[in-house]
Amino acid sequence: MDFKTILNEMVSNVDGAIGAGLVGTDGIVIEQIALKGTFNISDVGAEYATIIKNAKKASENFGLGKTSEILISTERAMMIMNTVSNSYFVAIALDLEGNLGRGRLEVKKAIPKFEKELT
Amino acid sequence: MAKDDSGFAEIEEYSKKLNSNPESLVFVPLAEAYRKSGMLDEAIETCLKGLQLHPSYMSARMVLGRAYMEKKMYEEAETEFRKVASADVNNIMAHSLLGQNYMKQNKFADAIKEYQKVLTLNPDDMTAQQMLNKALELARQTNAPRVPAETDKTAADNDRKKTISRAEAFSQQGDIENAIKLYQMILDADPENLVVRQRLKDLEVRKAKASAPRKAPERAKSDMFSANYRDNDKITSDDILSVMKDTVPRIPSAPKTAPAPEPKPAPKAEAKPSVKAPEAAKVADAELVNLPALTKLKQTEGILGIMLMDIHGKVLSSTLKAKAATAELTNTVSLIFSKTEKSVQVMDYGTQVNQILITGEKGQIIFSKIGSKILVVMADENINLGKMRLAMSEVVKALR
Repeated sequence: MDFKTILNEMVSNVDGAIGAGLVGTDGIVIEQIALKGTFNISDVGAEYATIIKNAKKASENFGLGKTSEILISTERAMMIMNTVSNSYFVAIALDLEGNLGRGRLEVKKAIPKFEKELT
Repeated sequence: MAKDDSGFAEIEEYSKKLNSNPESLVFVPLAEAYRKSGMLDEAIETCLKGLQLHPSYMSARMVLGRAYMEKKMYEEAETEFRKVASADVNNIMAHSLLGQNYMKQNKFADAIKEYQKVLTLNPDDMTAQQMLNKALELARQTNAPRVPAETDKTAADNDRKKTISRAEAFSQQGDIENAIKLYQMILDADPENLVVRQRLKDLEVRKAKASAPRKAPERAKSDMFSANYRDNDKITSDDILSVMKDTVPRIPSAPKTAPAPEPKPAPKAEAKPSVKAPEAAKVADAELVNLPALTKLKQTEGILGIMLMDIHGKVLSSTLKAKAATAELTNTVSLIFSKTEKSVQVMDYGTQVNQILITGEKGQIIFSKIGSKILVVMADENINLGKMRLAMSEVVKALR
């Protein structure tokens, strides 16, 4: 199963999904899909990688151990980022009416599939 | 040549995918797999072919640049990294790779500039800091040109910090004109300072907005969140102060020479109709920590600790028991917010981040931004996320 198929499966079950991407922790985008025109994770891959890096640092500083998930909400969208093995992360963006719980579930379901493809 | 089977398996897999859809973006992981396996010619060829179809795909240029660099084709590598850095001045990886590329050519002065840019964008990047130190040391050993002596550099840094501090004081007093003049001076001396460039841009936007007629209802809406909230400030004094690494006081001492008039000794809040005076803000802060909603949140089952801080890192209230020092925690929180805000602005997902939740193995932390304050809540791994967010929303309502 290729990355695009996994991403498509992931977003197709989530109401309000805008797009999703698989990104390396070095900021390089491996694959992405956009359901709405505005989604382009390539523009922010490096920024996301920095967020992940700092979230890991925060998690360690607060004594919470290894980071598994990051949720971000803004006035226009919600983003879910989960680490995939040590070198990648998957991100999905939803609009404000999106189903956040379903989004988290679908991302968690997709992680083993990505890991299988990446090993 | 390829060194292990997993590399070959990846190459085979990605090659199949690319063959089935030659327009796919999979050429990037394929080229990366070639590069990691030492097949640099194949990596370069794959990137060049892919870039013919997707010339603006910057990730491909990064992989291509890396392959060139490993093949010791440093000029070609620089061209690719420069293209990425030009397309996105905030691309930390591009500047970091430019630094590496210069180090490999013993161009330490150029490497120093690139690592300084990385640290401007992310002051906590320890690798960049180490590389910068190494470049400075090697530059000194080889007497490389254009590298100022450490004392000169320190003096220049101190001057810059003082000027930034004065500019921020002007900005806080609503004297945008003079703040712009000072930031322009810094930028003239250091044209590649991205944070200062962005700050200057923000101030110019603010100046333009201030001269335009105001729409009263919209203003009231944004002020609802906080008396101190400034909707024009994308990169704010958070970023400036993080660059200054907490060494500069927010109220500046009088410098010896000044092209612009001195800021008044006691900085006032910004000249906006609804801004509270500093004394009133202090009273409000004291009231905040005793809010019933906050007390209720602290008592919620599974909550391990709460911290209320302002966006500058000042702790207003805290029951957190964390591994790291409070200053380190507040710096990390501020940095996450500033980086996240930049990314959501680039993605056009709004101008500010409301909430960030980080889930770790042993629990969760939620950061909520409420006007100029950040509420940090730490919970154990068994907490019901829905209940936690509900309790937090009450605090958010009360604080607003």
